[in-house]
Amino acid sequence: MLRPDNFSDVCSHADCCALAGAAAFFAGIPDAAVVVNGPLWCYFYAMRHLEDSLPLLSQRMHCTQLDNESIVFGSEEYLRETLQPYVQEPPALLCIESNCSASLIGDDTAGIARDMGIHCPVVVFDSGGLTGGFAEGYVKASLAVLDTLPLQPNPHPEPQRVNLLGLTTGYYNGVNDRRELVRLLQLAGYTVNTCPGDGTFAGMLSDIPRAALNIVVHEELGLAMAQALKDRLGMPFIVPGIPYGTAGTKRWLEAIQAVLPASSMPAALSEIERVRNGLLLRINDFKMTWDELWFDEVVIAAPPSTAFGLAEALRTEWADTGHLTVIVQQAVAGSVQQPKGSWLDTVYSAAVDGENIQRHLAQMKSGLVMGSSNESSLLRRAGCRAVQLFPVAFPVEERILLTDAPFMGLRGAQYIQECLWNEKIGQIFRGVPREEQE
Amino acid sequence: MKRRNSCSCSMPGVWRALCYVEGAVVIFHSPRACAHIARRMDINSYYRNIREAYGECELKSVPLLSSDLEEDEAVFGGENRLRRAIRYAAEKYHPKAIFIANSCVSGVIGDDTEAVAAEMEEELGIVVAAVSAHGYLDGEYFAGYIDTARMLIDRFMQPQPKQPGTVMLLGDCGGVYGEYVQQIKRLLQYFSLRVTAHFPSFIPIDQLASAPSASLTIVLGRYKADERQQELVKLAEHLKDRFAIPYLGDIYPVGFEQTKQWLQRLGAMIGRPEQADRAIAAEEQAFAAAVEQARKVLAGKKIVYCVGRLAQYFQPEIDLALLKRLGIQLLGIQLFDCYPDTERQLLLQRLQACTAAPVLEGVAAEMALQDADFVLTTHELLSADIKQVYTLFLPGAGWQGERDLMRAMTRIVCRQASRGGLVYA
Repeated sequence: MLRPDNFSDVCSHADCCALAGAAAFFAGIPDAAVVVNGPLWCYFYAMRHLEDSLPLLSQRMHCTQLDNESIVFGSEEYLRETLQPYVQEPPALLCIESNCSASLIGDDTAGIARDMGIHCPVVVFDSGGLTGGFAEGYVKASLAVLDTLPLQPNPHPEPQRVNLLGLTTGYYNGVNDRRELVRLLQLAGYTVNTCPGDGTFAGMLSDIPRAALNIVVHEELGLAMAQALKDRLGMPFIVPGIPYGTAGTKRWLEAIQAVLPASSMPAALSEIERVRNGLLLRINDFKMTWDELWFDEVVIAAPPSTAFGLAEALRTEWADTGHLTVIVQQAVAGSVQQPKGSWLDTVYSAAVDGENIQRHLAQMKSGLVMGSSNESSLLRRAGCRAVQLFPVAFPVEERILLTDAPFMGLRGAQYIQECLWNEKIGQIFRGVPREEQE
Repeated sequence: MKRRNSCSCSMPGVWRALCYVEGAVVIFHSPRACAHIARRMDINSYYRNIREAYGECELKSVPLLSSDLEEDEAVFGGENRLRRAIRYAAEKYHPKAIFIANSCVSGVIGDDTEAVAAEMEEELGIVVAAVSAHGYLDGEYFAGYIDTARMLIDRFMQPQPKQPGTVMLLGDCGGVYGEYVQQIKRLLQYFSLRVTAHFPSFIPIDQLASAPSASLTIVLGRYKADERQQELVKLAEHLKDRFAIPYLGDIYPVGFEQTKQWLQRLGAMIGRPEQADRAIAAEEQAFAAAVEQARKVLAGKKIVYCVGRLAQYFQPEIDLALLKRLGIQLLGIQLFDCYPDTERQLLLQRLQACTAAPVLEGVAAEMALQDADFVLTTHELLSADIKQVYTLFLPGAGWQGERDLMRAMTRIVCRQASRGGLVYA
């Protein structure tokens, strides 16, 4: 069947290509080396997406630097030259991803690596724009790695041991979010076994079956791997959403508890209550001086799981708004369904609603955008200077992130509210008229 | 096999040449995700421009579409999809022209986009043109940029009577609001010349026909030896052949000495050498005052010059002349270990033509680095203790580069030693 045409303006489109998504999964394996079989330009932009979180990535991510000759005569010479150092010093895992044009010429990349005598597991697959966007690349890479692992069903998984699937440093603030999730799970009595593609070393990936449960965090990234592990090893999984806000954190832990009871859950729930009450009292006190946290309009632009999760927490817990719009940055939202509920007013997909998004942003007089520099630059170009930006997705050019405060979990709930309130006060102090503050 | 070391992609070059050309629509005949690179470049330059060239931040870019190639097209070809994308663009935006940038994918699958463009031009009755380069395959960023500019000249420009005292700028160098162009405009004021067109990115389609009324083309650039710059000069030659517009493109006003030569050449070209002399005298006076001010802080300071940049993108002569004039003591030069032999020799010759300072290696280099007040370097040194000034990669026109360098060196000298670190010139 002919797929529907989608030629809309891509100037509001922020999703990068599958090459970056795949590289993000591989780069999240700290002892893996990544080779992009493609031109320098594609490699550079994939790496640039990841370098904010992994500043030393260039030391283990390399490129064959293909040119016209390689497309005509094959990329073998280029591959051999790039892979040569790994013959003497193989990494724990070598990942070779071909960009779209390299994948079309169909070189036997795996055969070349094998022939060179590289003595480490080698993952080879085609990636690039023909495959899709970030999520498609990440998913493809995760499944390709899974294929190389000697995994066996484990009849006796360790109770309270869990894997976190679908996390990545390729999402803004991903490193800090992972730390917060691990902290919360440990508070409840769980042991985090592995986070494939986000911090777990190659040698530890074969321990995946030790866990009793796979928890999918970013659904568009982790669901495919969870499903594959269920199909192959019978491992159960859960997709509890993302723990944004104190209520969201409570829901998240309770959903996990319902499937896999935890020994210290009362302690975790008690901690949630403590933080929730603390926030309530402190912010109520603040409101007496500074009024409510109200935005005429809020736009949240991010990958689907992040965008929908933040939208729910914002509207049901952090602030009041007249109109809430979600822009799903990625081209394909995978299985992530638009949540049901009266709190969501408008949903755009960046891949197909380019003009609508530009129009929508250009009409904003004030309010809040939780998004990226993509939306921020469109807003500024349209002269909407009074709109607040809170960055939650890459690319981010106008803020520097140096602290370890997450967006997820209890610390995330504290941090985001702290930022929103302080920005409101800052605007008052800078003399921004009241109608523009909101 | 000869490797060409492809560094970039032609599609963003096409986009840059057209992004503010009102009346145009650009279609990337590519997977949709390729457009994110153009978008990312836009975002990066937007934030750079907020600081340095705010005017460009307020320009409205033209629509950029993608034909959205997927695996089906890789098998069956993407020409039909491109036709539909062109029809969509025509119907939705009513443009005066549609330009197709080819990706490496369309090159590998062998789509005949030029034929599709010709066919669609006939069907739609507007200009539809395909740029010849395909992604990184048979050209890079600059090939896309130049091809597009040539297409705009050939399809839209018309012979015009010349307007005396008017100038067309050719090239980019940071765009119409960038520091480079601002300096050029400042220098042109010495001759009462005014810029009436900045080609290619900044002339709407319906004003292209009258652009050849300019009486002079000034080619923007920095490095004469750069082969991409020579392509731009060929384009100026093309404009001269077609519309009899003389051009200045064999010398660039980058650095104080070259700026003087440029002013002299410009004065000779337009038959006003006395104005050139007055301009040079004024620039000399201003430059001398700036140097004198900087000397108060910098004279007698000891530095090491660390070099790792390719000769064709590098003018150490400007840096070394400035150091001499400022009374800075050059302890030595350290060449980074990144040069092929021939390139290393070439650069050494150029450096040694400017200075008798020794080339340092090993222990001697380490000792000099410790002894130096700061380091002037083309690459960041991974040492938090060494005070470093990063030399300009893209200096502005006139003696803006020297001005920036003096400011950076003054700041690094004023920095407390414990902070170490880097200052960008």
